[in-house]
Amino acid sequence: MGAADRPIYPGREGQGILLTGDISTAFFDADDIAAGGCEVCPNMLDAIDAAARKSFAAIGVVMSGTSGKLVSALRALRENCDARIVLLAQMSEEPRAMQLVGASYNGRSVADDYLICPVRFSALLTRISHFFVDTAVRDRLGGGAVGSAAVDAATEKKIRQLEKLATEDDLTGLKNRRYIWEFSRQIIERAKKEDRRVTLLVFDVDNLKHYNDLYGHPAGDEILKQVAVLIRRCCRNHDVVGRIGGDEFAVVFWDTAQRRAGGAQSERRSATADHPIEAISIAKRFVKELGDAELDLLGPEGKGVLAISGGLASFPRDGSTIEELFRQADKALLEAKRSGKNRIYLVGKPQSDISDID
Amino acid sequence: MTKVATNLKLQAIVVGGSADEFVRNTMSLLEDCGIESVLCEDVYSAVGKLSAKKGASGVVIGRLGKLSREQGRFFHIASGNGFVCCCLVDKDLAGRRRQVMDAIETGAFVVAEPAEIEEVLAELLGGGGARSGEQKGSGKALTGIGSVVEKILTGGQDGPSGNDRTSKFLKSEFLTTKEELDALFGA
Repeated sequence: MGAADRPIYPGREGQGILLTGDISTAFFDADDIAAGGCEVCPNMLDAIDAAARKSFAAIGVVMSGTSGKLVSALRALRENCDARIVLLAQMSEEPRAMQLVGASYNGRSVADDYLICPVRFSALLTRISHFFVDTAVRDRLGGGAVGSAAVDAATEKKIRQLEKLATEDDLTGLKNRRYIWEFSRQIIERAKKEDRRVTLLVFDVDNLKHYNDLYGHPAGDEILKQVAVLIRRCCRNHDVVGRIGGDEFAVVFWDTAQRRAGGAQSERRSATADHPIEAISIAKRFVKELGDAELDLLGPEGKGVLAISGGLASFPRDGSTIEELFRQADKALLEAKRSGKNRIYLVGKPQSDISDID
Repeated sequence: MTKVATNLKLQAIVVGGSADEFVRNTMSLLEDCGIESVLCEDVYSAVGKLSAKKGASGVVIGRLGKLSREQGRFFHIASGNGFVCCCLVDKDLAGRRRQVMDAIETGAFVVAEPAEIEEVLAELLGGGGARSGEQKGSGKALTGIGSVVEKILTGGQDGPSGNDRTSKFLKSEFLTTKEELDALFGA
């Protein structure tokens, strides 16, 4: 990339962008980035050192490979520079990225924003540029010398809306099928490398067609929304919950670094099925809350009628790919339906309902 | 404790948790020596302080495990900023071979007893702070501290204590090379 082709970075005059971590995992065009004049520090300590010496408009932090030290490093960046911090997260790291953006340190969030990777470098520039749209810099960038990075707030808003549409189910606000599959694929790859567990729960709402036929589709939609609220409430923050079909939902339970390091508690297994006991506990709590739920729309019939049937499959026990896990969990779901509904079966344990597990 | 005679303005960064007795004692020692010091919880925070103090003559003191994060990169950054590191490795010395070598290769002092920190400070205050280039780097003469070499020679076990122990820091007596240390660790 020649000097004339270099993008105009958002930020104050002379400021550049600093990237830290393994950028090859974060950008499709990683090879062009260094050539484009962007400073890259593979090591977090070097990035803090660089940020303390030189003024940057923004710092992109690749989350992969940073594990437990990330918070300490981000705090140090905050203490030593004014640059905006954008986390470059894999899909499986999104829950943690959201936590960090929401977490406060000395009156500021630990990080300013995050971006799901891999992406092209221009996507980072676009994301960064919205930090500066209300500053004098915008005038410089917008006053006829607009570079590829300069976008206005309206464009940024549209981009965010598109991102949301691409990953969320508009009825329930949960993640959509596409997101669940891609997230599961990534988290299983990570689990293979780091010897972690992933558990998949697939379930659907019993007798939804009956309610649709009797009370109309708006009532059916309300039931789906209610189910979504309840399952989200029962799950841990980092578990990923999605609606993957008409009345079909999926939950991906996975070990975070902290839980894995937590020792005995995180290593507990169901004695009967070798499935993680945490996932089973959450599923049981969900079934109970669902049974206690009141649905005003259904009138007198609306209390204690909601039920689901599901199948629970675990990596690596029941499959080594996302396709295998879904196939196994679907099979267990069908067995649960055939056996009378209102139960969640464990894969590999015919007739083994989670309610029978202590 | 003998107050260290100062003929040089030295700054110190102590890395570690304030609950660590070693850290508390070191801060106290530095105060007694009249050395300006700051406490940093970890190396990430310390790097920022190093950059801010660039050009000053200084020492970073902490446990080896804390200072050797990020594959020993901190030692290089400290050295590049004109600071010398002084690490305590008071347990599992044999298992920390790589970390000890990373530290020593950048000219850091490695001590096996907290009490030796005072001797290192005396050396730094008397000898001009960070070590000169010829004392650092691979292939050059490197410095192991008395008790560390002693522990290596005894297979990582704690050596004799009290008066029986050769704990007095005499840098020249323990001047050694990377190759010699490799041989010692390998033994």
